[in-house]
Amino acid sequence: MNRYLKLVHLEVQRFRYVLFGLMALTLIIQSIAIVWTSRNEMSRIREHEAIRAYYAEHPYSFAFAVSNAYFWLAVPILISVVVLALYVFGIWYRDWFGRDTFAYRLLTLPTARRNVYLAKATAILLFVFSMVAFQLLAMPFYQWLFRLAVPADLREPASLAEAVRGSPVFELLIPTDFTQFLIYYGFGIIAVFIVFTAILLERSYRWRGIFYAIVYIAACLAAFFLPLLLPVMDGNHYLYRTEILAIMIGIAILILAASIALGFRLIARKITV
Amino acid sequence: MVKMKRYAVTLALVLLMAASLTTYYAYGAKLRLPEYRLQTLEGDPAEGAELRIEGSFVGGKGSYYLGVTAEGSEYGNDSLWQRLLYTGNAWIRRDIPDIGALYREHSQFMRGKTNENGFYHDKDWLVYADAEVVQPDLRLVWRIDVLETSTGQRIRYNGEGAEPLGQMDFVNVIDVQKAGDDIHVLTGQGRLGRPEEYRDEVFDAETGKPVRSVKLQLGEPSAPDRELQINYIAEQTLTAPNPHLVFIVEQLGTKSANPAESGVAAAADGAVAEAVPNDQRPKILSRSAMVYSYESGEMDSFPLTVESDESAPEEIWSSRLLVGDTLSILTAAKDAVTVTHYNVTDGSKAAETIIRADQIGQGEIKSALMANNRIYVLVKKDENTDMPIAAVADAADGRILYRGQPVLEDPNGRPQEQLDDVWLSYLGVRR
Repeated sequence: MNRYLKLVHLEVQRFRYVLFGLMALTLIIQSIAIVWTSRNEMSRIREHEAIRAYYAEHPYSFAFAVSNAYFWLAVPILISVVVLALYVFGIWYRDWFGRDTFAYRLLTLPTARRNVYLAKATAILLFVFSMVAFQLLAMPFYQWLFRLAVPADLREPASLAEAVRGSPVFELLIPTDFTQFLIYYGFGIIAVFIVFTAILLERSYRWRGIFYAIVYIAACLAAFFLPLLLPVMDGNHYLYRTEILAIMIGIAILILAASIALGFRLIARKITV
Repeated sequence: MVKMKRYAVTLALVLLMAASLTTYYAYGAKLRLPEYRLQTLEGDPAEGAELRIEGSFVGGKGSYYLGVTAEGSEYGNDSLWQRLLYTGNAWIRRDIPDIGALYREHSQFMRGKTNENGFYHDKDWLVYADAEVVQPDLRLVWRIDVLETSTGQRIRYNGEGAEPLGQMDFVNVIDVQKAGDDIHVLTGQGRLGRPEEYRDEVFDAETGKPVRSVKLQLGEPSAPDRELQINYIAEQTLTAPNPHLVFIVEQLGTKSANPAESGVAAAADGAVAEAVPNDQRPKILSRSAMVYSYESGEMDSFPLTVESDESAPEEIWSSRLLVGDTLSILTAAKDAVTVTHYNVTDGSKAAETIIRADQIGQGEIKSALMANNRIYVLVKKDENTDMPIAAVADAADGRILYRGQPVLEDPNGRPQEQLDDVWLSYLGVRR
């Protein structure tokens, strides 16, 4: 356990500047977006009597500001998603294609090789959830900026949940419904393990491995989405929706377990350094 | 300590993640919408227990469905988990008490069932019947599923009916009843562009096989420039036995310009109709109730009241209900609700029950419905954000048993301007 945690820390250290850079980028762009949108709206109010009269009846809220600024709020989030998605591959390949073949040192450490696999997976998930948590922490700061930009007589309070619902990207990233959060990020966790195992297939078998990896990913996707076709195939609606849901959850757990087991086997026995 | 410093970044990320997500889902993710409750103004609170006043809360950003009951507020933002588990089979509503009971008691039998009008249930039998038009021949195929609950014996039939009916474009199963050894499946069926015809398809309860097909005679227009409008009313409790089915047949004074709508047009009744100004509606020349008996196969009729244009107030809507042998017709106008009860076995009419808006409160009647031997009425002063008053009256004599009004219980931090933006204008009864 100790060695596993040290490996996690090692992965975090290797990526920390990129992570902090993404956080800083998010904070800067989103702050500018909130302030610019709010001040723009205040200018419109000053210039147009009809808009001023409307806002006297329906004060401007932080939720509306988020809704109006949703594009620029989404840009740093999308950049972060792309960077983290690429790093799911990069966390492995940088070890093989770097100058010092770091993979050799990593895989000859006096620790079970599965700890390397688990540490990399943990690190990726830690980066993802850290970015999500950072977004949540930044929201009160953006609310404070909003209050600075909009006079008290023209604004009304809005809850964090309303603000999140104001942007479709926020609703996807930090859904207000906890079940949706579990489903979205559950899919994401399973996807990370599937990709990790596909990478290890490639590293184990090289050119043939690419083919195996593609087939493996396709098989996992097919297995997972097959229950969704059940209501279409089952013209008599024989299965209840709860049963289809249970089947899907069961298959997802099986795919996760199979990916981890296969990944352990590959990294322990197939990958040579 | 030095060792811990080495891991500061990792520890900080873990703490950040745990603290933020926990706080958000424990507290921050809640919308904190204001809470309302239906408060008793007068009468027995038990009478108001089934009431739900419906509308929306539009304060802040977005509009949220709001239902107010004696227990509090119901906002229409069920969690994804509740939606996944609750909707079950999307074709049949489980919130209907008798249907929900069938799902609980006979879950295997209920698999694959898609028409909530297709059930019959008594202490010994559970029957499901449905029909569909099969491509490419456009022929009707019937599906009968019978469970004898005392023995567990199950009989299924899947095939054509007793008579070849030719090609059909549509078929709707309206009601299923059992009389003796016969299962009666009352359907509306036909071809597009032609009048719908009603048939009683009879199947044997022991074997599930078809026995006979009876076409119901509901009359013809008495002149070329007239048309019939037909609504059917089945037993209010979907699965309960009822030896009768009622058709309301109205003869209208002018033929519709759309040939597809001329002749006979029908709809399941009990629905609230849209308001239509008197001068744009076809003139109703006559109205009668035609009562079909499943056991005898006979059709009896008796006349129903038709309001004259001069004396009738502007009609807002009407609804009809069949419970056992009693056909109840509710007619609502802005200032009063009138309910008339008929005994379908002999056509006799009980005294009318009238409930005036001023008996309930200031304003106009916005919604009215019948259920559970009660008449539920909603009165509201202003179209917009005024709080309505709901009343429950005895269906037999119109006595007001309960009056209630939604009140604000907890603003949940919402400012007064938002609290004023609640629109409650509809009445519902929790089943």
